[in-house]
Amino acid sequence: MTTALEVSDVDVVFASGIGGRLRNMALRNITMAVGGERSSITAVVGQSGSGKSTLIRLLLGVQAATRGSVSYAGRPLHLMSRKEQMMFRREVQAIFQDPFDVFNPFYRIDHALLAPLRNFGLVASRDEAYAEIEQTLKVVGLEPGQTLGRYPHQLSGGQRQRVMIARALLLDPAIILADEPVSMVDASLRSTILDILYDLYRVKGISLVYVTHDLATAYQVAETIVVLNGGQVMEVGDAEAVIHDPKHPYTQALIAAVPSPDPDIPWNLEADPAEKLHEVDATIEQVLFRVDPLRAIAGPPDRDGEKTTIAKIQQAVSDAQDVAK
Amino acid sequence: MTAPVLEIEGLNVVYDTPGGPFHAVRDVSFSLASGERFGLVGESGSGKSTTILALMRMLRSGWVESGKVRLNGRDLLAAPASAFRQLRFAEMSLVPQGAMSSLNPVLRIADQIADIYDDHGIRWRRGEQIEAMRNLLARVGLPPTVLGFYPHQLSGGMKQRVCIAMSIALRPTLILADEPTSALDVMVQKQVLATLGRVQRDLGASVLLIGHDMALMAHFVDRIGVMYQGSLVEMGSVRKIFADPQHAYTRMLIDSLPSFNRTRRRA
Ligand SMILES: Nc1ncnc2c1ncn2[C@@H]1O[C@H](COP(=O)(O)OP(=O)(O)O)[C@@H](O)[C@H]1O
Ligand SMILES: Nc1ncnc2c1ncn2[C@@H]1O[C@H](COP(=O)(O)OP(=O)(O)O)[C@@H](O)[C@H]1O
Ligand SMILES: [Mg+2]
Ligand SMILES: [Mg+2]
Repeated sequence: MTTALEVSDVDVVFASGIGGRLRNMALRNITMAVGGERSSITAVVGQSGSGKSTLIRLLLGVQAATRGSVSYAGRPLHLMSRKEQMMFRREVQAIFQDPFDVFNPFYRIDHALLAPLRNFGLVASRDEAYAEIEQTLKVVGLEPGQTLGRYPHQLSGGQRQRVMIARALLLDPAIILADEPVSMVDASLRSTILDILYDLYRVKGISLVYVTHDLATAYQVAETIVVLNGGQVMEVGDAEAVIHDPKHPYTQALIAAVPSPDPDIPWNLEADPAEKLHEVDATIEQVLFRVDPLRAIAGPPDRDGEKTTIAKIQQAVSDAQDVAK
Repeated sequence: MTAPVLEIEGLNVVYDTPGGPFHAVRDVSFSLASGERFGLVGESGSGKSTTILALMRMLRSGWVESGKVRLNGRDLLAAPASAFRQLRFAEMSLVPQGAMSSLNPVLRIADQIADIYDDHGIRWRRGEQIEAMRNLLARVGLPPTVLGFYPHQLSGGMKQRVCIAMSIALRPTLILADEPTSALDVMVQKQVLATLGRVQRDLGASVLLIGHDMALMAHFVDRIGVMYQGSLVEMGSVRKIFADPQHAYTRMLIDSLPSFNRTRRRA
């Protein structure tokens, strides 16, 4: 049982142009949950501009909802007391695409790890802090002796990203939100970092949201996959089903864009993966319809069928896993 | 058999660093046949960019310590500066790493392309140049309106196509492309790679593609060279490298590829 972070029927609209007349719906009709009765690991996949980072910022409480609300442990984020906010900021951690932006280049790595421990008053002494830090660095596969005392530019991109994961872990979080954590990391190191994230979920029971443009890495770790396009959910479901039997043309296009690791499986470079997408218009309102117990796809609101939400599908996938065990 | 387009023999490149000379490329040799696609893979810092920057004479605080480079039979390292300038774009061109951000933010796309023609002293009759630029954009799947745009008005994929268009403006025999798709999402990545493939075929040019994603390489190039800590540790056809990798690092590159048949869950 972990604390639930819940998004209830949210739109996020960015207004621009003269008098704010141009409205860009970065997210539309989003209802989802992170954590809850059981820990969850959900991947959110979509092209650049599909609203993935907006969703992460919404979950982090740094992006306000234009409609609907976000709550943690049953409390709407915008109504939390200072004390509740403190708890939220410690228990919900984020990891971003380029860890270089997070580090101050003039401070040693140690600084980025000590600061959060101190800010939240989690350690009584420097020795205690270093003991915690060294142990946590080992969890993410880093050798403390070869990491501490160094400057950010002296570490590789993969090492910096591991330090970021360690930094999040030091605060003993319930939830980690990861926004394209491996997009700027060498392909050969991606799977190692995804392994670390997956183990946090499986061993420590931390709930994860993994945001990526790459369905192949989403499939490596997620139990539920959410496919986002133009701020709306095109398809959501059990990872196996979404990958091996995608129902929505947008999901099919994303899958067609991933090169197979087997050179003998034809990829057909000349076939444009976006070709099938002329029928997908993300500017028209869509809602989710359940097409099988563990899956839903987008359709126009006036269509017949069982309307559902990401949260309900996440719940169904989670329940099905309990049964399987 | 025709002569190779590019031949590199025993290339060594050294950088000047505060800690003393740093040997970034060690004894690298390979060649590209006419019309061939060759992929250079390796983790970041392995010397891929340095290798092609050396070919382009674009090294910063670095120099070619030794080695031979021949482009269409001509000694590239010995070519005088003026001759070398003529050869850039015309015989060999580069789509640099992070090319999208290397576009000049204050110049319209038309002016950036026109610069290439001007540099090579190409004179056009009235209206001919604009027509040539329109054709060039059409080759990379961009509408002519893009000519009037500034870089910030274009998406990442469109900017990368503009960079490819610029690289083929003078119909080179060799295109060097340094991670042209690594900043793009998978869908746009495939479209841009298809564009590169198409212009390469139309021109009959050779391509040297740099990247770190073995899967992507496998579906684009004919042969792969694997770089590790400055050295070329393995080279062969895609099929041979995948079926029988010799170097431990190559094996790791292949084994770590994500697959729709393998997952951590249920592992
Ligand atoms: N702060 C902002 N102000 C205005 N528009 C924004 C802002 N943040 C994001 N957007 C817009 O919202 C949409 C979704 O962006 P984003 O969430 O960053 O997508 P992704 O992370 O999937 O690439 C885009 O159209 C983007 O331009
Ligand atoms: N201008 C420079 N001065 C000093 N060292 C450099 C310079 N450019 C690159 N290097 C070093 O040379 C090595 C090879 O770099 P690079 O060719 O950029 O690798 P890759 O393209 O494979 O990522 C790295 O260790 C890098 O830090
Ligand atoms: Mg983003
Ligand atoms: Mg490079």
